[in-house]
Amino acid sequence: MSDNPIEIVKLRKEYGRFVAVNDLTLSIKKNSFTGLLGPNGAGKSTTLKILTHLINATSGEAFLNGIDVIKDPKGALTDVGTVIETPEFYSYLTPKETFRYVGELIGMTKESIASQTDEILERVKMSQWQDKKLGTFSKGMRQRIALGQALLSDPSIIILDEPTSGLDPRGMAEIREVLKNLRNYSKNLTIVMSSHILPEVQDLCDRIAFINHGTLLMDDDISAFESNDGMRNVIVKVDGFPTDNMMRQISDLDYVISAERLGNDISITLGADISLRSRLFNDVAAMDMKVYGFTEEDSLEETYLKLIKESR
Amino acid sequence: MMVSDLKQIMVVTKNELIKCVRGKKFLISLGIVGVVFILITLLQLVTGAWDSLNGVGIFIDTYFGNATLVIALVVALLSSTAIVSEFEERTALVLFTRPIKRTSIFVGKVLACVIIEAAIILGYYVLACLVGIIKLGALSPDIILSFLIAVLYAFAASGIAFIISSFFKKGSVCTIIALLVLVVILPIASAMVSSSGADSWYMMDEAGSSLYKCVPEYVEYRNSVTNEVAEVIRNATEILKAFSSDDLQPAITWIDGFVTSADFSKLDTNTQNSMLYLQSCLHMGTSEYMYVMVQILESITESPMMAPMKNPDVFRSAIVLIVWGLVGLVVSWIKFVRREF
Repeated sequence: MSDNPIEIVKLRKEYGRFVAVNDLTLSIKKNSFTGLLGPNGAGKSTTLKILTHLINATSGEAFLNGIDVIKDPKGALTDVGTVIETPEFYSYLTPKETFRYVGELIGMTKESIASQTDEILERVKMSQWQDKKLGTFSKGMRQRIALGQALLSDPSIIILDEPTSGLDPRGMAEIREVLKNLRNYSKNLTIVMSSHILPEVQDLCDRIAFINHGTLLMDDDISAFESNDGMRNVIVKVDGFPTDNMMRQISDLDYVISAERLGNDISITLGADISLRSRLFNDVAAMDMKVYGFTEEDSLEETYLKLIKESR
Repeated sequence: MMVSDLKQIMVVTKNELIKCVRGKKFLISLGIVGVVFILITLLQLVTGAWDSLNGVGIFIDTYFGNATLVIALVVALLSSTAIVSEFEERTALVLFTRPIKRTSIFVGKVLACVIIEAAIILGYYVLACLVGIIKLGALSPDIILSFLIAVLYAFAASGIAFIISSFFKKGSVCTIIALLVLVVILPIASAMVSSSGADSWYMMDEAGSSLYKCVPEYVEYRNSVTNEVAEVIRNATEILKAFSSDDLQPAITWIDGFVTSADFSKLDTNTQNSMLYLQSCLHMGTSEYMYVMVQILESITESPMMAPMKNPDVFRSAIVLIVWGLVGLVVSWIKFVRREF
């Protein structure tokens, strides 16, 4: 098996004169949770739909576990679970029947389907609804079932296309909770998820591939996106006006690059390494300051906007 | 784990059957077939036609004479949304992203549609045959052949419905178009070809009509009815011909002279009116309208409609229906496997 379970090579998709995916080349690292980021119309969904054989590529190659999905979609999708947008289910089936149908389609044994169904329904918190018809479910519940059917065969690759799109905040939180725990159940799991919700990507992913106009702009660990030229800005919220003494104490910390007042808050610049933020948190807590908040400035958003601007 | 295509086809077929049986369209189809059966039977009882239901030929005519129309209705309801619903209801996002060939999905859907349609047709045949056995004591074994032709007709109609389902985006539009094509356009086209005198064996509806024509007693019954009608038309033509003859000219000359004479004015009013009516009848009898009427009646007796019905070439009809079905399915399969979400 390839080291990169998902390999996309010079993938191109044209709709008439419009180029949705423009010779995209991208490798998704094994056991990573990669966020495919980009604005609307960037080509994220089109790429994932080619990967899942919902649409055909104009040219190029896309490999899943080393098998070309364009030439052999059945073989390539064998060990893959997918949730593309917010799929619908056959409303006349119950979750159990849906899982049985999907399980039988992919060749699982009856015993395996039965045991996996119970476990997966528990994981997506749908056990109590297992015998109700899907037609009566809310969008959030249906999306949890969608996630469940993707996990049914314990695949090594999971492809998610905006899995929380169109859900209410509670539904989004429930889906994120399930996604967060995915790798607790399987260590050998590569996940790729398209989204344009930055906090969601920050919360779930460890790598980001940023695409716009169907072209890859940046592909790296999330820390590289979150850092601002190798630095991070942290805001410390203090009850009252920060005194000169407070500012001096912070500036004197050897890993702090700079510190400045921002109204009643203190903006601190330090290295991107996460351990530095941990040290800062402990050091500030030990100082004689009434700290009530400790937040990071959203560098991912800055990077996102910068990349979009540069790619215009 | 790679599953064989055959196993996957069976899984899809099973699911499609469950989907169909639990869906509204299946109930509507059963309702249509049930209502047709009940109406035919009730009308026989209410109008007194039940007593004249005394032969296999008239029984087939009564219960199966319009079977192709009912089958077309059922197929339009059940097959016209088989493909489009996956896209319209977004279930394709789950099914198509699984390790399964689209061809397997397609074959599974076709099998499910044909099985469910065959089951509905079988239900109707069983009910009708029960009535036949109760009334007549026994039925022709050709009824089994009739059932097989009916299933082949459903297969052919499904091919057309699948084409429609592959090309459109809305299920309701597909159903309406399928109804129009199967219930209106194709039967009219078939009738037009037949009435032009050309051989229409290659038309789907003509081949489908073998489902009742394949019973020899039905052909005999239809030919006896046609002969009776032809005899009536022939007699009527002869009478009209007599009226339009030049032999009437002396009578016309006499009555024209009489109604202008003094003798006419001496008659009472009723007799005068009768004489005037007779005069107009005699004039009409020699008018060109009467000649046209005679020509029309003569053309009817010579038309293909009045020609004796022949026992159909059932094998050829079966091949025609299979070809219609396969052509429809191949076209819709090509569109289905290339269709993008």
